[in-house]
Amino acid sequence: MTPFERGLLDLLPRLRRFARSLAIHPADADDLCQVALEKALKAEAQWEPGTRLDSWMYRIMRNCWIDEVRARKRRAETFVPEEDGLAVGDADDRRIEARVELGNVDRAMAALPPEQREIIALILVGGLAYKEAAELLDLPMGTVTSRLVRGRQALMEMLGEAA
Amino acid sequence: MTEEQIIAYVDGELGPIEALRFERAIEADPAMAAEVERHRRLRALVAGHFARLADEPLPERLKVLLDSNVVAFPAKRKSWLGQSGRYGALAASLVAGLVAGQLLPLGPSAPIAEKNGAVVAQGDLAEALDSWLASAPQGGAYRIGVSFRSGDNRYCRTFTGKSGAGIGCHDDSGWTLERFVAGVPAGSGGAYRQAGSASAAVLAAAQEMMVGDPFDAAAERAARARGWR
Repeated sequence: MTPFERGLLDLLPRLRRFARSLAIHPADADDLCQVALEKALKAEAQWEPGTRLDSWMYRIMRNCWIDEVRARKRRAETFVPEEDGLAVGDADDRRIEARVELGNVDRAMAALPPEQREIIALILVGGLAYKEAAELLDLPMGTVTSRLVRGRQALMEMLGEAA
Repeated sequence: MTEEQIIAYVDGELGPIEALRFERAIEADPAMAAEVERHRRLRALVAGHFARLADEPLPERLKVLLDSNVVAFPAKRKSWLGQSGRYGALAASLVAGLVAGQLLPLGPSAPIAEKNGAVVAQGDLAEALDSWLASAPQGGAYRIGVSFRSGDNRYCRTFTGKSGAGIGCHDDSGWTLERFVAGVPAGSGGAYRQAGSASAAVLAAAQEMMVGDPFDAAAERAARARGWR
C-alpha cells in the first residue's frame, strides 16, 4: 500500500460520513465513495503532498455527487412522465425514502436542495471552517453563510422539537 | 444579533474577542440564549447522526480499492472481478466457511463435504485445486484465481465456480475451505456491484492470509509438483 493509499484509507471513515450526508441512502453513499476514490487514485499526481488530503477528497467527492444529481435530474426530465417527473426530479427525499427506511435527520437532509445540503455536509458533518468550505466550493463567503443559514432554518423546521 | 452571528458563534467561527462579546450579550438576553441552544442542538444532532457511521465496518469493496497489492496483479484481479457475467450476483452476506455446508447440498457429488469438523473440497473442486493452473485455465466448473502461501504456512488457492467463490488451503486432510461465498443462479437481476464486492471480499481475505506475493506461473507449477506440501 502506498502512503497515498494509506492516507485515503485513514480518511475513509470520514469520507463515508460525508458521502452519507450528501447521498443519504447507504448504498448510494458507498457507490459515491467508490467513484470518488477511483477518481482520486487516477488523479494522484494532482494532489500536492503536504496539502490537506481531506479537503482535496471532499472536493472530488462533492463534484462526483453533483454530477450524479445533475444526471439524475436530466434522466428524470427526459424519460419520466411529467407527473412522476416532478417528484423524481425535485424531491430527493421521496425518491430515496421509497427504497429505504430513513431516520428523521436523513429525511430532513434529503429534503434540502443540493446547494444547501452540501454546505451543511461540509461544515456540520465534515467539520470544515466556513473559509475552507468557501474555497472548496469556489463560492464567496457571503454565499456560504447565507446558504448555511437557510439550510439550518429548513432543518430546524423539519426536525422541530427533535433539534 | 443576527441569526447569522448566532450560527457563526455555535460553529466556532467567531474570534476570541468577538466570542467573548457575544457571550456577554447572550447573558443579558434569555431569548437569544435559547436561540443559541437550539442551534447547538441542531449541530449536535446532525453531526452525531452521521458520526455514528464510524462504528459501521468498512465495506470490503472500498478497502480493496485502496490496496495497490491487489491492483498490481491486474490479470488475477480481473479473473475475480470480471466474473459477474458467468454467474450473476453473489450474496455477500453469505460469506462463511462454517455455514457453507448449510447452503450447498452435501453428498458424494457435492463440491464440499464436512470432515472432522472442517469443510473440505471434494470431487471436481478438489481436482481443480489439486491440478489446475491459474496460468492455464481450462474449461470446467471451476476457475482457479490466486495461489499463495498463508501465514500458517499452507498453500492456499482462490477459486470461483457455479456454486460460489472461496479459498481452499491444503493440509493433511486435503483442501480445507477457509472462506466460501455462496453464489446464486445467474440472471437474478444484474447486481454487478454486489458480485464485485463479494468477490472482492474473497480476494481481500486472501490478501490478509497471504505471506509474500501471489505465485506467478512458475511458482504455481512448482507448488503443484510438490503436491501443495
